[in-house]
Amino acid sequence: MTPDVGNEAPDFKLFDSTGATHSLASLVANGPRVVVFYRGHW
Amino acid sequence: MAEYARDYEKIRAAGADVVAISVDDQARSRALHTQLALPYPVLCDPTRAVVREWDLYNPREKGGIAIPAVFVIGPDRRVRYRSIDSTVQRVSTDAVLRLLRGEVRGEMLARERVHAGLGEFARAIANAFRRGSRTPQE
Repeated sequence: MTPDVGNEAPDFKLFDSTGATHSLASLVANGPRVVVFYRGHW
Repeated sequence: MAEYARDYEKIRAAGADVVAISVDDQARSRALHTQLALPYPVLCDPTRAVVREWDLYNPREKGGIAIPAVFVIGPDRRVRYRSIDSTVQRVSTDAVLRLLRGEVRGEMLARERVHAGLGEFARAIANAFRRGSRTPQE
């Protein structure tokens, strides 16, 4: 289910384009984070 | 993607940051990150694990991709705002900025998005004619 306003988003761990790993918890540790899901590079 | 790069300093000034997620592998994500000179991390979900868990999986296109969506997640990991979008209709960075600055509430943005969508749609069509459809997706 897509996390809704007011709900806790499930944590995740993903690598980025440089190979570094990020968890959602670490991404929001210093303030709100705009999380943009996109279709991908063509 | 590019518009979050353009408005990145404003988003940082509002105390927030940005991250992008797609099902692309590291090489494709690196190409996009370089091509658009993105100042924020681009995360890779090639197994679609997160996209599926967040119920943003679109299996009908390009071997299964993410449905475009924007969230604002607070430090407690709670969702402060969400917008589940489409290619031709996305919430604007201006609207996200006003939300981050506390100038508007999320449910107001949800209504506004519908009106902004017509302009986005016209721009998407104009872009398709000008550049063809093989352009990096926002």
